[in-house]
Amino acid sequence: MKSRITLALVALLAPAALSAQTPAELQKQIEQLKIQLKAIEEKAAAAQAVDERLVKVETKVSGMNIAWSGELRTRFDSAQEHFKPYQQFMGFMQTPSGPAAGMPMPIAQPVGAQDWSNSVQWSTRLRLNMGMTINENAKIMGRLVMYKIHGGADVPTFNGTPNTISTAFTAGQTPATDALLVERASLVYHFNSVASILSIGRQNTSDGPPFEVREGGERQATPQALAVNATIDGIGWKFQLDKLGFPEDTLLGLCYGVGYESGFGGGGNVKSNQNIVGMDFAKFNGTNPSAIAPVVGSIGPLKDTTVLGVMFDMPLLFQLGESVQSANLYLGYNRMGNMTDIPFGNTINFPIPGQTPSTQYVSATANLGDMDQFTATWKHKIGDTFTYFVSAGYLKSLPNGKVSQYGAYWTFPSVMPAGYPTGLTQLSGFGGLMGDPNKSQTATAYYTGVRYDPTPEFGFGVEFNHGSPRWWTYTPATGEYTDKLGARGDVWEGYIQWRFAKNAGLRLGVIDYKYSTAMSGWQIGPSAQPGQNWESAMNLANNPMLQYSYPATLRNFYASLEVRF
Amino acid sequence: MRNTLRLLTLLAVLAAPLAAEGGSDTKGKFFFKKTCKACHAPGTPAKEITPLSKTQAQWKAYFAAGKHKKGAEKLDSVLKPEQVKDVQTFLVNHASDSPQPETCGG
Repeated sequence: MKSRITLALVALLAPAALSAQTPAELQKQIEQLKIQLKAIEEKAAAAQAVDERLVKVETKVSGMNIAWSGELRTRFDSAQEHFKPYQQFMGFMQTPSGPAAGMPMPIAQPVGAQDWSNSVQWSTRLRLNMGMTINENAKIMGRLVMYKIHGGADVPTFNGTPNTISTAFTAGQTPATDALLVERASLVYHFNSVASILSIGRQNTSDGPPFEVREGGERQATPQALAVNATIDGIGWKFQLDKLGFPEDTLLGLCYGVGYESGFGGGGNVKSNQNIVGMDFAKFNGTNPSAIAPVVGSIGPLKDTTVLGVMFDMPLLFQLGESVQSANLYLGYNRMGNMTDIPFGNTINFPIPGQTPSTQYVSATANLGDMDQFTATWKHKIGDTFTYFVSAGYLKSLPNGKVSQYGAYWTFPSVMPAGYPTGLTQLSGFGGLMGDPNKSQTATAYYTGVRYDPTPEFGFGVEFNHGSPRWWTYTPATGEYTDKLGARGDVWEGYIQWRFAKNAGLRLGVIDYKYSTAMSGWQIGPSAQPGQNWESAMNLANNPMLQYSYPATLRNFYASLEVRF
Repeated sequence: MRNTLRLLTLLAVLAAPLAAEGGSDTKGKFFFKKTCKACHAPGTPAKEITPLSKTQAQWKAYFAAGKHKKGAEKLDSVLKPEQVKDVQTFLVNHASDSPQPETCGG
């Protein structure tokens, strides 16, 4: 390379040299040419060195086919809880005499109002996002996450409802362990011929709209936050509707997933089985112990829990005068089939507030029926500064008459007064879908919020959500240790976000919960006692009889440092 | 709760004068889709361009040069001068190495 440059220069400059007038001038020109030649040779050598370094970089980059990004969040929480008086359910006894003789009578222990606080709690959450391009149509998307309370053991913390279930659904959404968990891992393929996108694997089903408003970032998933904010495995197919005249990037999606794989059977047994769930003392008179009979519940083979969903996503981008505005309309429907009482996992029991929690490992015992879930969200951003959203949800249960095997049972006589159950009946425990194993029940919720960003560095917002007494949603957590969108009651949140440096921000906020009804966050619940109204029986203001305690209010102040990379 | 809302309002009022003079991300997205995507769509002779096509530094360098069609014409002959800053803000904010790249969201 160097010799070629030298030769070319000599050839280029030779005619000029020959035209020199005198030997002295000729010698001078030769000296100048030598200097120029030396400079060119040095540049060529430098270029050669750069070329060698570039080859090394290109070789290295070509081997790095995973694009990484992520987020690190360290958060401080301080929470105060208030428990209203309630009746601690202890079991049943037989009514000794009178017209109701022989009928079950609950034994309860009164528990007074209590206040508890966890004034200091630190947590760290690390999210690593991955993107791998396979070819021009295919890529793999993934997210690994670690979310852990500082110190302590690897156990989930109280997340707004007692008996928190820790399952794969909540992986990465509730603080639990310092292990790196897979929150997303899916193969995404673009079919250009039919204008559609196929996704197989662990889907992007967490942090969906409108969570991005509070987070101050881009939309992270398709399912609306009020419907699903959990880890879902399955297959999704989205069709691009631009060609049908819809606005650009409008999508109609279909998805199917398995929410709970039952394996070969139920309750850990391959075949149908029976389990003693209690004792029948109806014929026991105090002297004939042989009259005490076991109460047996059958645990049959279970069907897989499935989710079949349809979603519509229409983004709008338009100009009104000088202002450019963006909006999104999301509609969603999910049919959750063969829902179980409890997926495999562990529950963290809080029988009495403040008592040391105990971990119990559980598995599903029954399919309880289906559920229909409808959600709609409208988000509107005006310019770069003001955003508001409104989201609503509707839930309808389709129970199959079965109840969970977890709980207290009683055998009623075959003939009972009107309104009273007969035969083997569950009177407390986890019960059936939405607290009623026999009749279809409905629930509603709404979620609304505003955010104002006066500068690109500073923003603040207020959010409110409300859930009816039987409300349940597939949102085990919302990015903190409490379950905001599953609350039966009212929740306010206010926050300030200050981006003090590139990709780094500080967030201050408060979440204020007012629970109206027990068992927030659960898709199941015990039936009301005979003659009782369920909503009234579970109302926390009515001194309810409960198997576990539930807070009536919870106020959580938080501060977090968030870095994106 | 009321005190918290008061505090938020106060902070907003204090922060308002700090409003930056930079381009608008939302406007940039609008003008990018309206003007740039008219030619740079998938399957068109001009190659498809998205915010992910370049890094933040590459987009900044591209707008600093202010050239279009490999230097054949000036950028503000395609976009109105007041729109160039907005489009730059959008593309830089969602570049391939940005913390919030533009994606379909899965």
